[in-house]
Amino acid sequence: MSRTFTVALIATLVLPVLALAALVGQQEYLIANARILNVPLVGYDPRDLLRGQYIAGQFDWDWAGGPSFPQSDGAVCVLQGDAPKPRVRFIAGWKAGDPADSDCRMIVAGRGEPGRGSVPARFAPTGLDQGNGTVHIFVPEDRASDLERLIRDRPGALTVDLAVRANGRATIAGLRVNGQRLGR
Amino acid sequence: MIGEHFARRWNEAGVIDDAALQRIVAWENANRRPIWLWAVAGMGALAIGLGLLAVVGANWETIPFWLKLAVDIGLNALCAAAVFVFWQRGLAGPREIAALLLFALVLSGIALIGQIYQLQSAPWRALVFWLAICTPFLALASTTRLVGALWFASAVTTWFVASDLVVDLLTYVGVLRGGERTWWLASVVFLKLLTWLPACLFIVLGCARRLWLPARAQGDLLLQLAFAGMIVATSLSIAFAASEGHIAGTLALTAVAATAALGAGAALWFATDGTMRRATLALLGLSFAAWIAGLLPSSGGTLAHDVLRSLLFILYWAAIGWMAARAGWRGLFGIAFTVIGFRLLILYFEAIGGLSATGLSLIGGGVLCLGLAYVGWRLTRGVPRRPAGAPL
Repeated sequence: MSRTFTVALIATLVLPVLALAALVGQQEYLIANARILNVPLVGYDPRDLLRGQYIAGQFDWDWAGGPSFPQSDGAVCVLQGDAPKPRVRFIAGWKAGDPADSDCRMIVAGRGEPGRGSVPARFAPTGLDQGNGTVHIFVPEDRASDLERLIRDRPGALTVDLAVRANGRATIAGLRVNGQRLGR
Repeated sequence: MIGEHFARRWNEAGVIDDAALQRIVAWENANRRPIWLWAVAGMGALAIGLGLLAVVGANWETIPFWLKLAVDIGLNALCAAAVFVFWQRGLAGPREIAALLLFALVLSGIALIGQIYQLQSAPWRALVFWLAICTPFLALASTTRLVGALWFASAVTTWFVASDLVVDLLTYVGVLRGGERTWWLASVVFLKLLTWLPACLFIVLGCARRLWLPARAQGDLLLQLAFAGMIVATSLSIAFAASEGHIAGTLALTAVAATAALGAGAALWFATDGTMRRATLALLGLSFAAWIAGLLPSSGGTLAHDVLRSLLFILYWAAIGWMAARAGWRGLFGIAFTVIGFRLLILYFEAIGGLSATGLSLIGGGVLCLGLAYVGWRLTRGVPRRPAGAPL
């Protein structure tokens, strides 16, 4: 075989290894260059939380000004404070690059669903929304049922560390049970 | 042992003489492969593998994430190096196995990263990423039909998982109007297009693959699988009527299907010649015509429409059988005859309706089956067998 073919074969074999390493590097970079926001997770249907190895839940926000806002893409402005439940205000139509109000310590882009009757308002960050403001959190198989019980019996005990970047995009940096970080 | 058994059978039937029998038996004795030893060794290797998996699985939570990632990427690198070394030494079998292992390891690596970093993106993104980074090395390092078939299965799975993306893409390029995404995703016409397009795409890929001599057998297999998919897509298009409505959108999707068929036809024209070119182009043309006929809407599922669709289905498969007989594709001829037989049987039971459970109707169905089997047997024997090693 020619030298060109050898070089091409080496390049194609190195590609998947480099791509996997780059994917890990990208995630670490995103987490390292983001601010962490801890948000409690609650079950949207307490009878039906587990989805295989995922727990389906919703972020529990403290809505400043009430949970009524138009259903749309936008962002939440995270207000100053250190309460366990982040106090937020929905900004309909917010896009990356738009200015944030001076009282916002952080902006998280995503989609908001207004509350109706007994159904609370929902907001899930862009990229994490699995529909209707629901998020799926991967949990270890042997701890899944414990965590499911924890969400049901002690709402707020399971929290998620969101790594929020300057453009409002958020990824999950980790899980916490009663403030203690769960291993990745 | 099996070879010896058949050699004796052929000797008794007078197909081979005693001298040939002795030579075959002697060769079989000299080249015995102790299958039971391989089975024991295989079971041992499987037990070790399962044991390792069990140990790792039991301690999964205590293993730090960085160690999991390092081991995974290390295994991928090791496997990639093995593919290269086996290729350099001309060890085809080990090279193919290592390539297949690397293909699987990369997917497991993507899943592991997704799990550790809680990545929530749609599954098609992971699958497309997987194929995008693995297809180049598979294209250069692998030439066997087995790896080709597994790559094909992975690509087809990815295609159907990414059906949402296909609608978005068609909307983006202006084929479909915006705001109708949900309607199209559930529509029968779109499902028909979704099965038609990959068949055309894989015909093009199969043609491209067979142009490289070492991978010609793999390319031929891709072509066979693509045509099998096309026949299934066409049969489904005929069998299931689409509801009326969205005429403009349906016409636009038909134009997309026609463009894909033209692309597949052009690829076949350049990559094949002689009988194979004529037969494959005829099969492509016939399938496209039948696929289009299947798009005609059915008004309320009337009996006339149902009968028309059944006849179209039988006609399509009869044409396939006729072409298979002319091209010497005996297997395809047998399949065509069997499918027509089943359709006739279904028609028979549909025609007698509520009587289908009575003894007389079952006897009638049985007689029909036996009659069809007899005709099929006679017809199949009349189809000339393709010479060994002939393309497709």
